Amino acid sequence: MELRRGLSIAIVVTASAVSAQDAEPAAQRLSEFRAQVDGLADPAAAIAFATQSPRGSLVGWIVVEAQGRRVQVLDGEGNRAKEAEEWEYFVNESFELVEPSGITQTLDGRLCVSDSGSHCVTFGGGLCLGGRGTAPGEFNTPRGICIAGEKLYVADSRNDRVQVLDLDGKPLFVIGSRGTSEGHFLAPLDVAVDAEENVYVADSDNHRVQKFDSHGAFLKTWGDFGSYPGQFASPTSLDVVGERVYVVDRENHRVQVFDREGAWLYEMGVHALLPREGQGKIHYPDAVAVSADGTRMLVCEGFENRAQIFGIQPPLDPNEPPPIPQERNIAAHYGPEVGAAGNLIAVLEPGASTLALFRTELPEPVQITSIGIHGTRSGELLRPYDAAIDLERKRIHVSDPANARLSTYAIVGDFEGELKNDPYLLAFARSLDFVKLHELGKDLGARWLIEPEAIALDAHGRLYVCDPRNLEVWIVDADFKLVGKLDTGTDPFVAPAGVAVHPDGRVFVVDRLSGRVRVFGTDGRASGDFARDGLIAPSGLAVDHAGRVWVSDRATAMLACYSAEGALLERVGAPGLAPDQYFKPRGLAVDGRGELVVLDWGNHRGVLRGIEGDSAGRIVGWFGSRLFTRELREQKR
Amino acid sequence: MNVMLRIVVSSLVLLAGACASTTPTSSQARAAAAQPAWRDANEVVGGTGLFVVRYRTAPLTIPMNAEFAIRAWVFAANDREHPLDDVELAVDAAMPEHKHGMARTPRVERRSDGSFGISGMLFHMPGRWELYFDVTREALTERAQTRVELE
Repeated sequence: MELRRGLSIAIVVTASAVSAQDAEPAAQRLSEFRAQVDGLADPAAAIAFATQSPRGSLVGWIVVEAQGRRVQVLDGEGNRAKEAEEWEYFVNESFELVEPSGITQTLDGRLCVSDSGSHCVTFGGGLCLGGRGTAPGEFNTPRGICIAGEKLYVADSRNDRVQVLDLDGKPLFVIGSRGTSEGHFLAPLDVAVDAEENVYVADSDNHRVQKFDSHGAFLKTWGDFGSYPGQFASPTSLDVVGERVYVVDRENHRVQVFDREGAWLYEMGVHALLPREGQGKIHYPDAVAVSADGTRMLVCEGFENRAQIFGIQPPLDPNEPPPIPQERNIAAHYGPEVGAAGNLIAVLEPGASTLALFRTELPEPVQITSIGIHGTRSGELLRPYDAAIDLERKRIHVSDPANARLSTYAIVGDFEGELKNDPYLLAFARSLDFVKLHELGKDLGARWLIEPEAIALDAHGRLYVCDPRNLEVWIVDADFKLVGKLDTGTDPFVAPAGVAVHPDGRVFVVDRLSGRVRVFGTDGRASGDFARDGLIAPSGLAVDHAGRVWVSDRATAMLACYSAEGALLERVGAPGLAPDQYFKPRGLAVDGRGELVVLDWGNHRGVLRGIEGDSAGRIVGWFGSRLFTRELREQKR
Repeated sequence: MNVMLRIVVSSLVLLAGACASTTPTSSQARAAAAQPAWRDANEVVGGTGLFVVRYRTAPLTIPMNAEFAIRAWVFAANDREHPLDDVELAVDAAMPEHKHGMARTPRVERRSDGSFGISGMLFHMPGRWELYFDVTREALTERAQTRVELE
């Protein structure tokens, strides 16, 4: 399929296929804010294209929306390209996307999209390259893609490799495998190719960029975890134009620019100061695309459902010193999940790789300790995801998908007496390493390395562990032995994203991409489902003391409440900052008082919502940054 | 430098005999030989009660800003007579209040007598340290930790 159809424009060149000549003078910076595009449904990736018009060559953009499951065409200033609507319609009908996450095009203008939901790469027309698997040519959660010449490069993220195929999908060779040493990857999320066919990979959970030659031989790596210039906190996307490598440094809220040898040139992006603030401020960027002439850059911010376009900054006064890189603070963002029990709430700070523990006696829960440090050794965390509190055994379990590990922290201090900060309240106690379990062949035949994300605890101390890599929910007993998995029968999970245990022992799992809640009996077998078509992007799940099932929906910023039998009881919430408003809510939990703890991920805060008795429907507590809790505080006054 | 070690963990057992400096008689030597090598060692239980680590520092008083060594034995919590030979041991230390660890990485080697020799330990400043013994068997790692006040 060609973009020419319905557009009356011609693809001139893709960004990745530009010649090696440096399109940007050495002092040129792509950092001047030009336009903001709102209303995108989780934009995940984009490419630049050039069109010919009576006014000459113009830059435009094709954006893929992961949640919107479609592509959109924007003109150079971010406006919807009206003349492309027919083409868009044709493409979206032809591609049938589940969760598009990467986009590229051939030199002759054929569009190619990676679909992490269906685990394939498609040129449309029902043709799907790949499918879920580990063999050459198969993928598990393909993300960024790039075409250079006759080769298709795919960041095969949950196979921890980059695959190189021809344009018919025939595997040519593989770059890398899981690991932390040179040439190995932990969650490679994007790939780009320069004019000499050198390959650059955003090695996200290793917080670095790696460079390979055209045959896949390792050349060099740069970056490490941190916030100083040249360091990264989850690099998720990159683009190469001319001599420059543009890297999205997601949790540092910036784009860093390097030369092709990894020498740092500059960074752009200032973290938003106000909720939802854009207009040049960047918040959790996901992807970057740079025009082939190096004059425009589009930054996708899935978190904010928007994209921003930047142009060349006017030349600096040569007598003025160059801008000083902004100091970064990568902590204090919560989520994505949350745990609660008794008077305790356990929250993860993924940017700082720590577990923070709060007490709930006061309306504003008080943080009483934190533990954890970024790393791969015992007790350290790479990407903490969820926490489950076992008050009976005085333990807190934390899932860490990047380390492929469950870690347990023992509560060794007093958490009920005097309210105070105690740095020694928690002590690392043990961990279950799924890498070793996989190597030993003791992971019950898991096809892939188990990747623990959302977790839930039952009355026996067993953990239910959502694994988006194997699309399973595993059961780990109180002694940390892997003892089984939920039996989905002939209806496998599409994307298990949240899990909770009912007081009667039934297990509920929210299956994100199928938009439903699955129910499992006490024997672990599937016994039904509900909420089909009622949820757009379900994420968190909790069962309250009355046995009602609460589900958070990122897309609508609402919480849905169902009976355990699946009857919709109520929907609450709306997008915003005011009481009972949320933005991309994720984790849910129920504390000892029966209050619903909502990890209001997009608002960087936790909210305690009354759901029974006199407090039902009221916001009774909150924690998080002052800006994002201001309106809750004012309501309390 | 006048440095004193204070161990303040209840599980720790430091026998007074460890400080005896008299020359043993032959009968005492025979009796000592019959005693296990971990006889005078400190003891700390793992965070979930699976393993027990016995250890002895050398010198007994941990010096400040100077290297010291550790000899350690690992036992199953329900059998404290036979050191385990199917586990791995990693040793580290940190100052949680300062949010830093040691400025070096210790080396751990298994000895033929069933113990582990740890070298390259160094506490570079006074204050509260935590000494970590991470015992790994297959995919499970359990930490036994103890507190050290270095003055």
